[in-house]
Amino acid sequence: MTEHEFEQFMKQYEKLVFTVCYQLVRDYHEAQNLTQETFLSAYQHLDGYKGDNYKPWLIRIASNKAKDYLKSAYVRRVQYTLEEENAPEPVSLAPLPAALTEAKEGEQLAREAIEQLGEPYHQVCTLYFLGERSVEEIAKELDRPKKTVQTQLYRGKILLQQRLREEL
Amino acid sequence: MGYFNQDGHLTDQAFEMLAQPPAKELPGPQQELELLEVSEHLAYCDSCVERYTSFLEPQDLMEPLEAVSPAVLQELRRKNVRVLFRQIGSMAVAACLALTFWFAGAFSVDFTVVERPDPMQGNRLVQILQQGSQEFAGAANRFASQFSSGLQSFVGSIDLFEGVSF
Repeated sequence: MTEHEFEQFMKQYEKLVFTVCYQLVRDYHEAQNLTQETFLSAYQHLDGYKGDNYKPWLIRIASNKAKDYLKSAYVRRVQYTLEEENAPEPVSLAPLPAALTEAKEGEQLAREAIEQLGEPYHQVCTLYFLGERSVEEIAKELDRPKKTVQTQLYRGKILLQQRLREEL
Repeated sequence: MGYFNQDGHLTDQAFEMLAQPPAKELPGPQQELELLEVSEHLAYCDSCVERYTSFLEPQDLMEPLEAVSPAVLQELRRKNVRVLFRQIGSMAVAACLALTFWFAGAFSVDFTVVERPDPMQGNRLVQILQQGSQEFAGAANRFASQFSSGLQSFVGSIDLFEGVSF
């Protein structure tokens, strides 16, 4: 594709890409930056794209860019919040005599908490904690990227910890 | 708010949430997480991307703050220049290395023919061919020697510190 053709390509799809970026990040200036990054990435991979409809392809790239932006903002905010709250020390795994009788109750609570999790964490946590599947197996079964499964598992654990702390 | 169905795909509610008009404030932590979850799903799920594409009506598309193409084309030109400079730099390094090896004598080749007992000795044609190959070897050696010494004296004549004062 020549420079002129790519310029026409951008003019044709810039509204679509900007709309997707804005709807996902809810910030005009960031959406503008992400739109530019989307087209830069599209230019690099244009030769490898064999489809005839560019819209879904561009939306996929834009979603990836928005995901990376939102993820870094989320991670920064979660780490800051955890430092602020002085997260408690993790509970020792060695069972106390008195706790042995409570172990079954705790297991039941954990099962219920997993069942109450909403998507996209429920399937991942069920397969991992109750089905004892590996991350690779879960990714294959659910047809999700491995990194996405790892991220959802990480967030699912945080949600479970919060719910179990409330219960206990 | 259920943005994912039991199969882990996006519901219509998710697309309606995305299509909501711009709010005055930036999203709070909960909405930020929901948007992250939706964007993560769209990044890998073809079927949901197809559905999202059909949700985006042409009349509802937003105009960017400014035209995207000038900035993108400028960045592409800058990248091309950086790539070109990197290639020139690599070629310059390769040339310097080649010259270094040349002065160290790594490329000097001895064209002398090794004398071996010749079963065809006595044959006139063989004698003529042997004589020709010896003369060629001698000429090649003389050429390589002259070229190498000429190049060394040329480089030696260049005053690297001309015009430099300490």
